[in-house]
Amino acid sequence: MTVVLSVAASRRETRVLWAMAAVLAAIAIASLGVGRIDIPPGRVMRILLSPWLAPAEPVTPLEWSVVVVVRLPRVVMAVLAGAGLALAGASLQGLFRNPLVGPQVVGVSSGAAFGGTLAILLGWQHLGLVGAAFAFGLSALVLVWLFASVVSRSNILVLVLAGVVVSGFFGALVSLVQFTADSHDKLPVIVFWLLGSFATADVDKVMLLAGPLLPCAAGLLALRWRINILSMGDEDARALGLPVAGLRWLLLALTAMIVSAQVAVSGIVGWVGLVVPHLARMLVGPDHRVLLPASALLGGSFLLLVDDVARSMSASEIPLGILTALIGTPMFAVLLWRTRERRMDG
Amino acid sequence: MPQLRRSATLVLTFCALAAPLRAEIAVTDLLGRQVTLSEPADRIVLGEGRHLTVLGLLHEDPVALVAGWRLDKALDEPTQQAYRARFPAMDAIRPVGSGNRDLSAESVIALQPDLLVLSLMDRGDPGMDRARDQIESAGIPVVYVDFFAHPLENSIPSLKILGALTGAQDKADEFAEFYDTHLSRITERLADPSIQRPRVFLHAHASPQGCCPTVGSGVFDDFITTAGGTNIAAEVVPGVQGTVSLEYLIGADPDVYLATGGTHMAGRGGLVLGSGVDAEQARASFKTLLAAPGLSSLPAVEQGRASGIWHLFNDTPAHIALIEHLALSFHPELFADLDPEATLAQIDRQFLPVSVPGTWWVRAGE
Repeated sequence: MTVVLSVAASRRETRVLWAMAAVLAAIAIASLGVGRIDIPPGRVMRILLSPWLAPAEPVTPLEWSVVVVVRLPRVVMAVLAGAGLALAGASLQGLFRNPLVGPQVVGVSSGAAFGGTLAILLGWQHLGLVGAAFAFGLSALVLVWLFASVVSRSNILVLVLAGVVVSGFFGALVSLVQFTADSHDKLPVIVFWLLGSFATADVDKVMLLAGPLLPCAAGLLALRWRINILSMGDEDARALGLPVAGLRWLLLALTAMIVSAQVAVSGIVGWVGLVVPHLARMLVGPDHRVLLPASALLGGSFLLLVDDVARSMSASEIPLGILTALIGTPMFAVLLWRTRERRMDG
Repeated sequence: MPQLRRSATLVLTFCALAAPLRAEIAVTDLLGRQVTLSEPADRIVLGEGRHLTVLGLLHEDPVALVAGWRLDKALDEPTQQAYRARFPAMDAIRPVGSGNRDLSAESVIALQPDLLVLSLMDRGDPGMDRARDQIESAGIPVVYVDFFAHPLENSIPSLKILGALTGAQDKADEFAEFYDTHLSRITERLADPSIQRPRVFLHAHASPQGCCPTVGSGVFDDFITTAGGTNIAAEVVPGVQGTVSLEYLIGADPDVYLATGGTHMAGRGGLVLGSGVDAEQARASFKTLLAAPGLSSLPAVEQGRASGIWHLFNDTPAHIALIEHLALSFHPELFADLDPEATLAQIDRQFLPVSVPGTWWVRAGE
């Protein structure tokens, strides 16, 4: 009986995952048509297929430029960033056995933010900015590791505190960079970059994001059953033969790489890694084998929708960080309220 | 002893009689504040370092007048080098603060200047207002000028204010006459309401990666409007500057694409123009910019209606040459007789103590 229920549940979860993937694909196609210039989804498909299948009505240079040159890299970047952040968030929540943990907790975002702002201040372009953000994001993780090693490498609370300390340190450095930046040239660029945006998305940036993100995401997905065991507690995990400390640092490194890559190409985008795993948990339950892919698919859809709002509401784009916070905070409050109610009912 | 007393009485009497004869210099600055000096200022602190070249329009040796300056909005590096080569004393100018709207009242007071020159952009900032109050309470006069926020409206009045306060009124009047002659030639011809004004998009600090910082009211909007164009971003950018999406730009389909750049953009792979930049480097950077995804497909770019201009025209009365360049770009038939290069050369020759070579604008297809 239990086996039958388990198979039925897994079938249901698989169906939910396929449905999520279909929804993501539909949102992506719709997103390619949404913006200052509206293009119907059918026409979007014809434009995308035009190099292979010539449509009855020829594709105009304007249509090609808007859909393929401007929007396509942006849509791909939004999906990758959203999926990566949600996946990182879900992994960290399982790792720390705490649903209030997000990618920002390890200090990586602050480190990457400092790297990016420093690059802008020094006038480093494109690759230099991405490289600096990435390098400082990972150096933040190294600092957290060193800090935790000195105190207690196996204590989760120490890890969180180390993350807070490192975040505070890099936050101060970001403020210092902003203070010294020229107010008419560099400062607006820094502020806009920190608020997060996919406005500068292009093929190069998509590749720079996909390069580290895809293998790291694959790594997290491959380890998802181990996260299940880790979330049971350190003692149980050790009893089942897992190298807890090593696995924890591997998971932290993978999530740090994802977050660094995202911050490097599009600035700080908060709340996605915190809110989306909660939504996914409501849809598919707490099993990380399903929760991780569900979070990734839901994260891609969520950030894509937010970006659609960002670029459609006005000619002057609303930074993503503002929108994700405005949407994420009330959503998170509602989720917490519902969780509390469920606990009280139970 | 009585003779000494008699001499002292004579000296004091003479001083008392002569005091009213020595004319005070009184001006009203751009905030409507009365600024009074007992004699022309020869020890000045500049709130903006790049206003050294404005003083250069009035004085043979502007560096000799400057005791201190704020490092924010400094001169660009090639201009600094050119001025330093001519005036080695430039190294003695003391910094009095840096960063965003930062001014050290203590540093200014320690220099004991005759005058502190602030920009209209400094007004209303609590930190700057507090520093100004402290400096004024130490007996140092503060004057507000503007060559940036509303350049057409304020540049010549500001130049005349500085001319009066530094004993160079004649030179200020001479430049004002030169400026007005060149400006009226443009405004008179554009007075005809039937003239079609091209829709212009200005891409500020232009680089292939960052699209698109632009301008709303003031500064370049004033230049574009005066030269007979319409700044399309003024409708969507509420303040002086803002950012619009590449998608907006493609949808707006401007008649003219105008990009600003400078030596500060070299590190960002953007449009490189200005002091110390040769024409080949400027053309190459402009070509790279116009080949950027999205920009390359703009009809204005495809049809050669694209131009690059030096960004730092935004804080000098030499912007009159830029207005001529824009008028010629927007209305080539109407302004076929204009020669903006000659105007710049004349400013260099007739008014400025240091000639800084460079490339100030570039056109598509050049």
